Amino acid sequence: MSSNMHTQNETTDQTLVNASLRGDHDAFAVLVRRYQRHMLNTAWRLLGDYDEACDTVQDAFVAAWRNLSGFRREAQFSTWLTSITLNQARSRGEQLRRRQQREGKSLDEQIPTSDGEIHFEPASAAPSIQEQLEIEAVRQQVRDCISALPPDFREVLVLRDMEELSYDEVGATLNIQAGTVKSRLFRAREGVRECLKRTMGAL
Amino acid sequence: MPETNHGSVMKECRDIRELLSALLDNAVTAVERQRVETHLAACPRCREALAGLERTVALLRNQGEVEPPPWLASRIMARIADEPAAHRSFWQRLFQPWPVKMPLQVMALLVLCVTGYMMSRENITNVNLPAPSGEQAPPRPAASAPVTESAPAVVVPKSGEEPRPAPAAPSVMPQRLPGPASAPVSPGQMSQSAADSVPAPPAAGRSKVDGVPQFRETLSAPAAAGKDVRAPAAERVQDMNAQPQSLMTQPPAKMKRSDAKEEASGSLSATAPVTLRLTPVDPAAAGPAIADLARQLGGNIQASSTRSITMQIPVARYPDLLRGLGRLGTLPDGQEVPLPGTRYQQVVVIW
Repeated sequence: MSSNMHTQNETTDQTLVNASLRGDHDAFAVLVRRYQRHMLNTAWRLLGDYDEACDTVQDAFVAAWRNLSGFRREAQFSTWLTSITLNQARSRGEQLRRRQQREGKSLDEQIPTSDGEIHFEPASAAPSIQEQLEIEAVRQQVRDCISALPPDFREVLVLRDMEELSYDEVGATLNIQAGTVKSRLFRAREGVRECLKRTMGAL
Repeated sequence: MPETNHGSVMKECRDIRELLSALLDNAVTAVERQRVETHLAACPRCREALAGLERTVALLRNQGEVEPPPWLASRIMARIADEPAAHRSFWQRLFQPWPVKMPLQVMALLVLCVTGYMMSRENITNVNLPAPSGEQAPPRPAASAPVTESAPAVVVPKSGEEPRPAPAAPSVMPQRLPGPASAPVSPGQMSQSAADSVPAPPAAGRSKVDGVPQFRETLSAPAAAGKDVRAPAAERVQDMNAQPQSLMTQPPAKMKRSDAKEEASGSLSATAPVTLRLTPVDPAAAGPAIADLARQLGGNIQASSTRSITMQIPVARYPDLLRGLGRLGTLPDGQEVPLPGTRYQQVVVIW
């Protein structure tokens, strides 16, 4: 999402927020349709799981509706909504991590077969889509490396390099200074670069 | 990554690396940019780092996007529909949307006011009636305020008023309550208890003779009922000597003559009024007729309303009163019980 989009919708967003505050569900539905894609992608990049991201977006919009009266007019609605989504994603991510630790599962879980041997899940790929699979494999590597980052760095990286927010917008969303955005972004990018170099051999 | 053995070079590289990230975003000053470019020209490792960083950011930006499932928005809105406008403040929820809620609220307020007004009016009548109808509820909240408004109704019985449902008489039957007679009290206690216990006799007699408790509750309600019912008796006790004629109590001289016991029983007799329930032939004319009868018998009207008269009559004329009432209507049996030796008796006739 570009910053231009924010400015274009600013007035309309505010109008819709005001109508929503008067109990107008239709007005809020317009906001939902306008921002669900952006929120879903943010949540998906942070969590790395589509279904969990969908649930996160639902929770985020419900939380936004509940707290709409707490929305400060000087802030942009999209910024405010993104920060809610980040909070929801963060708490959901912690839940997921705890659950995975408890159940001892990992992403590349080995599948026991009937003959007792352990096989890796076979990749039944047709050669015609080999290229796409390679791209997807790289993307998965990138997602894994993002997931390995501490949440503070991951959020800055997702907002800046993937959602393409400006430094100021990232700072407003996370309520941190532009200098902090800059240094966290540097560390996050370095972290991903080193991670990819480790897992892929070269960059 | 292995660095050279020059610490200063390592530090320079670390500073430059941090600027490299900002350089990708054009978030560096002109001075910083110059410094980075100078360093990169001489440092292949940092050039390599910059290339890796650019590649990393390119990969990040090439992650693709996911599309929301078609059901997502509708599911969100369904969940929000289950939230009863929780985001609005209390007052917003109370009054908004205005076009819908304001008329309703104004109407509700009107209904409330009208109902309250009517209830208070009805209650006034009840309060002033010594014998309210049986289905009357206990005193209503609005009772106390408009009492004065209704004052005339106490004095002037409106004979034309529509007859009310069968009165729930506080019919303490004409037998005397055993309490005062069997337990004589000292004069000091007497006047105290006389004043306090005015509303009590009906309550005391209720369990025996009367199955309609509502009346007692009304009577003993201190705020309103006491005003009408208790006042004469209390006044009598306090101003016995000052205004004997108005209250038709025992003459002062007689009071002085009587001994303590007689005084006690005399006063107490007045605190235990006899209640007669009359079923009149002509309810509309009953009030004036009973009042006339009482005066003919040497009695005094203490209070009257559309459905009752409280009078004080000489005990000797009590049988005459019963006969006179018998001509006006029907009295229940068992009311011709002889009264104790007091000269005056308070009688409440209800119809």
